[in-house]
Amino acid sequence: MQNNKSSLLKDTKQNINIRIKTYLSFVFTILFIGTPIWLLTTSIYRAVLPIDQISKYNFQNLLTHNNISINIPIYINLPSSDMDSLLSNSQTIINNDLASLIKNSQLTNPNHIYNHLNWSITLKNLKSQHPIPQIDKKNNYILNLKYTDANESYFISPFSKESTIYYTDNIVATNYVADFISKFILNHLLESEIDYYFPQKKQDDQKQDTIAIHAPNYHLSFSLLYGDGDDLNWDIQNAFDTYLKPLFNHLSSFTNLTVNSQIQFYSQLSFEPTFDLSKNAYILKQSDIATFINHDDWNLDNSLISSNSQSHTSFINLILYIPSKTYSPLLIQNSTSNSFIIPQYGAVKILNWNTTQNGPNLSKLDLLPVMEIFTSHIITLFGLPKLPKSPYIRFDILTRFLSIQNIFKSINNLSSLMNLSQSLKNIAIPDKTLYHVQQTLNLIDKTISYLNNGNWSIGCKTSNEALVQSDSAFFEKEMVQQVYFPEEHKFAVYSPLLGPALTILFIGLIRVLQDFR
Amino acid sequence: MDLLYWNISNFVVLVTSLFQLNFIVASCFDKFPAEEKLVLTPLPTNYLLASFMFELDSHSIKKIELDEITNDSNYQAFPKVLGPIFESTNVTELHLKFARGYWDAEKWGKLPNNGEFSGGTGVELWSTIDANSEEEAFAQWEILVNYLSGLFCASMNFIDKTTTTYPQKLFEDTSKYENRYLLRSVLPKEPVCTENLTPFLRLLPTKGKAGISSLLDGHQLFYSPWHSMSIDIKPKLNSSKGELHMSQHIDQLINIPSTFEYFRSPIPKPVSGDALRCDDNKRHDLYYCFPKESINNLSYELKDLFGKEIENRLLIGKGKSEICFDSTEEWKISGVTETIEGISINKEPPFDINLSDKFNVKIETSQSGKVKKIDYPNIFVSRSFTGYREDSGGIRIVFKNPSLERAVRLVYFESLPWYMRIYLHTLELIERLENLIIKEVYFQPSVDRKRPGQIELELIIPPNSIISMNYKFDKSLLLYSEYPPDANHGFELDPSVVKVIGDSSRSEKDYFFRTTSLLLSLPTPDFSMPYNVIIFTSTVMALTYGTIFNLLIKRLINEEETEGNSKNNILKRLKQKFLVKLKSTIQKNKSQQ
Repeated sequence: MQNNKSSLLKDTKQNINIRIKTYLSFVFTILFIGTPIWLLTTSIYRAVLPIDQISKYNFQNLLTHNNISINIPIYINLPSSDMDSLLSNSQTIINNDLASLIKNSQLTNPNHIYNHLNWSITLKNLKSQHPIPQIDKKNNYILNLKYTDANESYFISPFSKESTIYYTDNIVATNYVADFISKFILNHLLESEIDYYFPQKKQDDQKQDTIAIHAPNYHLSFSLLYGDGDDLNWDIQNAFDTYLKPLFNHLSSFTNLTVNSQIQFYSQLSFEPTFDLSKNAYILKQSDIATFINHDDWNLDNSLISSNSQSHTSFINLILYIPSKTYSPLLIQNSTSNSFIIPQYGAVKILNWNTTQNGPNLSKLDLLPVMEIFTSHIITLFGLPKLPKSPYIRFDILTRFLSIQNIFKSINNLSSLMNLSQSLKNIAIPDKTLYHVQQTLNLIDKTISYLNNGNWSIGCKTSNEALVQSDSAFFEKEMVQQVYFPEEHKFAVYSPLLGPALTILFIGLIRVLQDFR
Repeated sequence: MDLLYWNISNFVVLVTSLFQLNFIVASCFDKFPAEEKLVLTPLPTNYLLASFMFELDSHSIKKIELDEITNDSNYQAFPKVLGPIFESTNVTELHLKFARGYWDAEKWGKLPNNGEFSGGTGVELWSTIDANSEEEAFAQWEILVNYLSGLFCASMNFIDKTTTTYPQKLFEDTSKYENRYLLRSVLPKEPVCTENLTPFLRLLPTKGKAGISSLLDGHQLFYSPWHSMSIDIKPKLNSSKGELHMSQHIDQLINIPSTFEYFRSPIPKPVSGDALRCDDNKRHDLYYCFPKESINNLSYELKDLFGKEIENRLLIGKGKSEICFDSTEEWKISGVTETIEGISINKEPPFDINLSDKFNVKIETSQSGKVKKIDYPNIFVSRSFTGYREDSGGIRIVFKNPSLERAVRLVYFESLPWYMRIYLHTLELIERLENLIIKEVYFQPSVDRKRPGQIELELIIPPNSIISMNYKFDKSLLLYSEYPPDANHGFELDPSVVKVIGDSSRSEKDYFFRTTSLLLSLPTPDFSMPYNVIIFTSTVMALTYGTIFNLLIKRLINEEETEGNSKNNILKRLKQKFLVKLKSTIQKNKSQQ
């Protein structure tokens, strides 16, 4: 009896071994076959982003390690060949002055992103260049030095990038020629550019807000809005061709432009302007300007269909508003030009045109003052610097600035993408994103090499492409539509399977451990 | 303005002085090629059909290239918002129709304008697109529907491959053009409402603020028993410069007494006893009232019909702005013109409202039942489901030709969703005259989730006959995620379109009309089913797993072997103790009794 009982309590060693092996084989199957299959079938595809490479493209790194360096060559046309020492003197003075400007900027605006840009000016002797002066005045900075009997002065040509300094005996005698050249370049020729990168005063963000968001494509829409419904027409095609084409030809050097126009009748104001007896006119107060545009009613929506262009297009609305006869004349308070800018949106000009007195047709000449005001507003909206007078130099400055800004934005996009992919572990990363990231990196490299070699216009276009690519990487459709499957739901679905299975396995484990003892 | 002198002063002033001579020639502008018209047609039993027509020509529209500066798109009357469709895609024609309600052809006759501008229930869009292949055409179509969807606040973005058909015979014949495709899609479920009217009115040069369009109001329009809005954009006839012609139509059927009532009190209230109009020839007292036959005396103004007045006259455009009246002599129509000089009454319609400052129309009749002779269509078509099963069903289409001597030639077009699997071999005509009646069949079978089924039949319906056509179909199960919200409501089928081919010898136009839409109920699962299935299968799997696991792990011991062991079992000992106690207490109780 005693023997029998012990045999009941304790199985044979062989049987226990078999049982343990069976148990372990279950655990093995679950761990090494079940779990991998489960992980494999429920995993989300994540392409491997080149994280190391992206972090290498940190914008501040690019600036401080001199990867981006902008070097502007200025060809100096010296009156005589024995003035070579003057060139090297001026160069030293420019370098010193620039260094102090940069230092001052870093102190006053320590957080300004472009503070550490490697930006320099190199003076070259025009006559020592080979081949000799076959240099295009519209593409290269040329500085002529000329002697004059009168007062010392300077002149910047509005038709090219050429400028002239007139020096006098007085300056030569006091040995100030080199200083004069340096002052001219830093304080007049390229002052606006220096102000972009190395602002000397505390920065205010106000100015930046007005500028339309830079995009590779711009769409400008001219609208004639009329408060009444009688006949009215404008010769916009001719006015545009004559007055605005030159400006647009410049603008197209760094961006793609499209333009259209429309006339809208019965465009009534959404509020009643107040009548001012002293001016004998209706007055639009500054506070009314914010609500001037009647978005519900005025059909100002802009849309383009071409593939992918919508998100990379900046729209600028230029509105010529002719008030109805009941509210005419309409004047804007404190505005001599009777116009205003709507930041990042466009500009409005109010024209008091009486169709019964002036006729129904706005001719090209009638539109001249309007187009002048529009030109000024377009320049502001595009963020063109106000100085110097030469449009060539102004566009050049903007081109360089935009290229660097685009690089900054692209890198910003990429690093946001990287942060996003690292912080959201269950977001899908399709191969397309990877492709766009690689494209962006390539294009940034290209832009930098163009900028370093002085090909600013191509550099700007390349940087635009980089921005488009980085945007497509970040706003990839498949990535944005994240699979939303809350954890509770997963638990609810798995628990009927995992609950019983694991309980059985756990009890099995206890039994096996008992046996083992 | 100092900042622009590089531009203006240097480039412009010189140039302008040169151009000043040309300036006089350049200032001769065209007036706007816009026209509008409102036709009022009284119908029997105090109904009235109001048809608004707006016609517009565009200047030439050219394709925009992004690489160069173009300013060829100067929009005047033609709305700029529609421009991108023709600038950036190869769409050549566009027809968009919104409609709701029921038009009873047996009562009111033919649809206005031969049905050319009246849609079926919901939203209908068709367009011709120039493309090298069908795929390319479809890609353009997708751009188009997405664009229109945003523009008209309608869910046209749900148009995809599964709802798009390519009609062969129904509309114009595209085979005469190389590489031209005609695509059509219908959203029968779409509720047409004010959100669609507002963008519609904004396309008008007057934006609904002047002329006859100022009469249009969402509440009144969508209150009517039948209404249809359409936009049709076609290349202008005899023009090679890319000019377009746009016509916008709004047709609405107004029930005059109910509209009066609506404006009197927008929230319906029961009529008080003494205001009831009872038939004097029948018994009537406090409890009984047989309604009198409809009112015959009518007198109203435009304001009573539309709730609004014509606000401004239409000043834009060289075209006319007219109000016409189409009826018999029993109706007295007078146009009231208010000018500074005084009120004058103009008796003769049509009225040109362009000429007057303030304008109103007065309509009076003593015999409202006497209307213009109704022009009935040559054919009536109705469509219904047959069968009662969840997995299959049938469709019966009845063609009725009431004419005693004329046969009717027509094209019958139907597009069916892919989840209706139709069997063409079951298509039969009750009279067994297939060869005489069916002239041509174009059938495109559906492909699951890719393409809808399409039937296009050319038929000749003999005079004085009623012919019914049947076919059968299977209903298929959809995937879980394919069911729309509220799937038990059913699935709307597109209204089928009938084109009655006009007799060219009598210079008749083709007449278009649409049947009603049908509501198909599909076998619909319980939507918690997948979870139930998962949970149930999991439980079964866990059970099997547990059994197998236990079989493999547990030790088997015979019953005899366990007996000796059982005495030592704690549970058994406890049970024994308990039983003994129980017995003793029962015995105690008994002895006490």
